[in-house]
Amino acid sequence: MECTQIKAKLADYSVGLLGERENKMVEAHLAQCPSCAAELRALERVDRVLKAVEPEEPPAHLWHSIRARIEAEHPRLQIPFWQRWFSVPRLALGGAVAAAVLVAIAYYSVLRSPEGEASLHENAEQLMHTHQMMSWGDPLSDKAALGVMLASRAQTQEVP
Amino acid sequence: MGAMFEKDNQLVERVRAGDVDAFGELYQHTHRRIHQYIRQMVPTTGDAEDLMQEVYLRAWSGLKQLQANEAFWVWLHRIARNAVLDWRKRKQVSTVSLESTFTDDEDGETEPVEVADWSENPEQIALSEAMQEAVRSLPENHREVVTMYYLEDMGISEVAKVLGVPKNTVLSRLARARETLRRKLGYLVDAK
Repeated sequence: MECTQIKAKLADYSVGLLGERENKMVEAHLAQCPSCAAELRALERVDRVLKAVEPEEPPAHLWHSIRARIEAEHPRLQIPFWQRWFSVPRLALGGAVAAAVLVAIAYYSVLRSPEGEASLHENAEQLMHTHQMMSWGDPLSDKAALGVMLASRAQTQEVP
Repeated sequence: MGAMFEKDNQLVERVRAGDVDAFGELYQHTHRRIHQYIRQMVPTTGDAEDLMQEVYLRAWSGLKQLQANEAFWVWLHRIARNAVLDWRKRKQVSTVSLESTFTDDEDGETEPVEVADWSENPEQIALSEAMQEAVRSLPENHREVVTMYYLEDMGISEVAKVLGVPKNTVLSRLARARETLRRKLGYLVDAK
C-alpha cells in the first residue's frame, strides 16, 4: 500500500475500527515508513491533548436555582422533614436499634431494683400517659417519653 | 458503573416519592457531565445555564417515564440532547443541525484554527485552548461524540446508548473528528 492509502486509514486504525488483516498491513507499513509513523503520532497527540482538556465547571448556584423552581412549581410534592429523615434506610435502622437499646436498658434497670415490681405499674402508667400526650405533636415522642421516665426514675433512686 | 446504577436507582425511587434532596444527589452525580455536553453545544455560558435548568426540570417532571432497566444518567443525557435540539429550533440558530445530512465519511476541507500568540505562555495551555476552539468548530455530530468521550469520560458503548447508534458509528465519528482536529491544529500536534 502507498502512504496516501495508509494515511487515510490511520484515524480508523487509531480508534480500533480496522479488521485484523488491515491492521497488519498498516502496522507493516508503519514499521518501515517514518512519515506515516509521524502522522500516527500526531493523531495520538490529538487524543492525549483532548484527554487533558480541563472541563468547564458549572456554576455553583445552579442547583439552588433548579431547586427553587421545583419547589415553586411543585409545592405539593414537598414532604415533611421527619418523613425524609426516615426514608433513608440507614437512619431508620439506626433509630430502630437505638430505640431497642433504650427499651432493653429500661427493662433491665426496672427488674434490678428492689422496688422494681411495685414501681413497674406506676412507671408504665406514666409512660402511657406521657405517650398519649406527646404523640399528638411528634412521632418521636415515644423515645422522648421513655427518656424522661428513665431520668426521673434514676433521680428518685439516687436521692434517699 | 453497577454500584452507581444501584445507588441512582434508590435515589430515583425517593425522587418519585417527591424527595427534592434525593434529586439534589442525582444532580451532584450528573451535573458536570451534562453541563460539559450542553456547554459544547450552545454558544454562551448563559444559554448553557438556562438549558441546564430546563433539563433538570424536565427530568424532575418526567421521572416516571424512566424504565427500570435504564441508567438515570443515560436517560438524562437524552433529555439534554433533546433540550439542545428544541433550543435550536426556538433560537433558529444558523448552524449545521445535529440531525443534518452530514455523512460520517464526509471529508471536507477545513480552515486551520487561528492560534493566539502563546510565546509567553506554557505550550500545554496554548495547545489546550486551541484544542477547545477546534472542538467547538467541529460538525455537531462529531462534536457531541468528542464531548461525550473525552470531556464527559464516557465509554464508546455509553455514547452509543445515548445517541441510539451502533458502536462502530461512534468510533467512525471519533476517527473523523480526530482527523479534522489534527488538520486544524496543524504543526501544534506534529510529532517531535
